[in-house]
Amino acid sequence: MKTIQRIVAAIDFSVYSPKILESAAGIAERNSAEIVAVNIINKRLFESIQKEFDDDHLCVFSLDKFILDETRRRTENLQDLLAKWVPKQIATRIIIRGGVPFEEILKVVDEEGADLIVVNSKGRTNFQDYMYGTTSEKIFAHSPVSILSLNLRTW
Amino acid sequence: MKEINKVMACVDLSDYSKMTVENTVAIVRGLTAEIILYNVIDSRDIDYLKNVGPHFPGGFKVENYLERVKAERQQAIEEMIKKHFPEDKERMSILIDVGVPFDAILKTIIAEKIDLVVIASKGKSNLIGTLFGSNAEKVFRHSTVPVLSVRSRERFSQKR
Repeated sequence: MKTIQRIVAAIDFSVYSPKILESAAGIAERNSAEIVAVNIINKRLFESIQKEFDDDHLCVFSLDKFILDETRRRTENLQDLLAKWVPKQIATRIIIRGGVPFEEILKVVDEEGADLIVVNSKGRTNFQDYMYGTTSEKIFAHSPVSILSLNLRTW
Repeated sequence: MKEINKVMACVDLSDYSKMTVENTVAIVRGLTAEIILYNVIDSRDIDYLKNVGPHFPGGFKVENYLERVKAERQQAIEEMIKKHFPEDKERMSILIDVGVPFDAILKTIIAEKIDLVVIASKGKSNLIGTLFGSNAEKVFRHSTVPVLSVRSRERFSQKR
């Protein structure tokens, strides 16, 4: 019989993130699995900042420092979220990386040998007319493991 | 996710169906949720038979065909439960409908007040190189309730 041992929760700090953690926690608790909360710093974000700084020759932008600071900030936020929504007895880990979100999430899934990914069908790109987030769509297309998509909507 | 009381597992009796039910059982482990095994007889087949039926020697009744197929599928699903999931037998029920698969699935989600849909990423339309099924994708896109898209590493890497 199949068991679930490791769950990757894709967290983007949108309004849906608490719900993702909540349902991942439910499944993790009943299967005594571990939760790996993943957040990706979008490559587009730091590339655009880099470009702004390159145009402005007076100051220097340190990419490494930016990613370090951002990782620290996001780790704290994620710890708060985990403390709030995941019961203490469940093992959790936090992974924060820079890159293209869906690629990095799938890489984490491979490296960790996860059995399940929990995502929402939408996250940060919140156009009313778009039913689907582009990231979750790509995860759906390329993931080798099962996906739980919550399909929560705010309207 | 709020309380999960009713889960629908879409079984099309393809190679992936056993995996689908396995995942369903894993997700609801420890809950008292009811599991509905759902199968759709594609109305495309029915339409086709309606067209060619009159040309059969001795005639051909679509109603009889439907009844036969329904009974066959019911039996196949029951056998699968008996063989692989005897301990969850009590909470499983079987539902077979006629329609366009993804449309029927979406309608049943609302009619039966389903809390979670489980579907394999592909099923019957098993073209090599097609990563996921057209029905699975449509359900994934349009469902109003959480969807668990089932796949396995071994199967997924076989794609080429």
